[in-house]
Amino acid sequence: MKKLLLVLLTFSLSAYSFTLNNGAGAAFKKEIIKVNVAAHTCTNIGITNSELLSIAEEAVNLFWNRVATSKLELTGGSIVSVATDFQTGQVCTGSTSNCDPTPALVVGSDILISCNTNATNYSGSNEVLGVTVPNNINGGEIKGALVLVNDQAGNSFASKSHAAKVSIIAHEIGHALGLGHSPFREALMFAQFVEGRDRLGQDDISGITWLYPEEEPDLGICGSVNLSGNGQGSPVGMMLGIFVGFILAAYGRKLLPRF
Amino acid sequence: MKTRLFYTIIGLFFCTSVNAFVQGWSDFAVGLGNLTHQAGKYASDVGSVSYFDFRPVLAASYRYEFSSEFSFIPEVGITLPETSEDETFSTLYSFFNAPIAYHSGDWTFRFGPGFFFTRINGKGGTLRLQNGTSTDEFPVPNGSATTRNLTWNLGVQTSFDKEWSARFDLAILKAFDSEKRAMNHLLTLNYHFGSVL
Repeated sequence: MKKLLLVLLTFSLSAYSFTLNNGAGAAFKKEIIKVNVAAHTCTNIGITNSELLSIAEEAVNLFWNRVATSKLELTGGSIVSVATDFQTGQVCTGSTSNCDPTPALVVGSDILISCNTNATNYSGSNEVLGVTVPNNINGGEIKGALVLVNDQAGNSFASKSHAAKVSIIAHEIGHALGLGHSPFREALMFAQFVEGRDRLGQDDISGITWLYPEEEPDLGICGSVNLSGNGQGSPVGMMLGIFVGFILAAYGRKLLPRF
Repeated sequence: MKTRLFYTIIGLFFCTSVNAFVQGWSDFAVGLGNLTHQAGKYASDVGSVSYFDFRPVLAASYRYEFSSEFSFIPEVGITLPETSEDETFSTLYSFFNAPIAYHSGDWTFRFGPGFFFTRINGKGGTLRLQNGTSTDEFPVPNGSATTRNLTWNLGVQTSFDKEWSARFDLAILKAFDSEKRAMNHLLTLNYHFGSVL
């Protein structure tokens, strides 16, 4: 038994090595992150805005919302009106990993997907399917991120299957969440598109776990209080909480043993 | 006088309880085995799934007997640290389980809650990787993050003799979330020292 233990302890097991995006460790701090789609008409990617929003919802539910060790929760948002700069502008000067964001394309909050025809964003290539930059970062917090889908004439996104489009958008959302590329082919964040991808790789799971670690159960007294409840709060739950709290405050001491 | 009597009674009660408590701890066991984290949850290659990982784990437990049939077996376990090939970061898994066990002959069935911890530690730096039509430097995480998952554990153990047993455990993470739900499985060979208290 001792010899077996010693042999095992000399092993150096191999893990994976994910990387981060231009924010270098920045992450969204809000509990639920919305994925919105810009309302302008995409001329060359062969899908409508509502189809793009539906693909984004599939992407988050098939890939990023499935990690047990991460608190991350993404949801499909809505189709939003934005300036035409998002359709034609350059996302940043410099490379996407050393990005100086163009002010007109800064996203106020959450993740925005927009089709875009500016060839500079894709190094003039039709093979580059999209480009993503968390372009609104404050300290270690990503406030907003922009996903641009290559909408140039002759782009290769339009000819991809539905499942491929889902995995491409999921890859770009991974960048929006703060992840960089992975050197491993089985990872969604691998730099090249690979047909047939239907789930995350271990590297993706490690990356999203590092950025958005789960901490169950919440050991804080009240946890975090979200003041932007988006109408999801329950008045019944609130009234019940206040009622139970009142009963405990008023009568709790009588339940304690006396000597 | 009343006060002294009161404290004497409390003291006797406490000592009796402590004695009974210590007497209840009947078996210290150490296990060596393999842990698979989130089995079937991630791709081992594009289009294929991984149900088994080679990941040695050490576990230690102590059994507290309520009766000849039921006992409480708190347990801690830890894996060996996994370091990436380029040594940019390491991952360590550990767990604490608190199952109630039912004994029937050579078989023991366990069920109960636990915590599963994942610690990922990055050493910083950059990696040059493909990005579009060229390459770029991507930052590697700097610092550690630890996750804590509440788990529900199901296990079965069979004893070969008084000293050796084998056990298979399933730990369900996010049991009530149909999208995030995942399972770890643990297979261990255990050596039982008996009571050491």
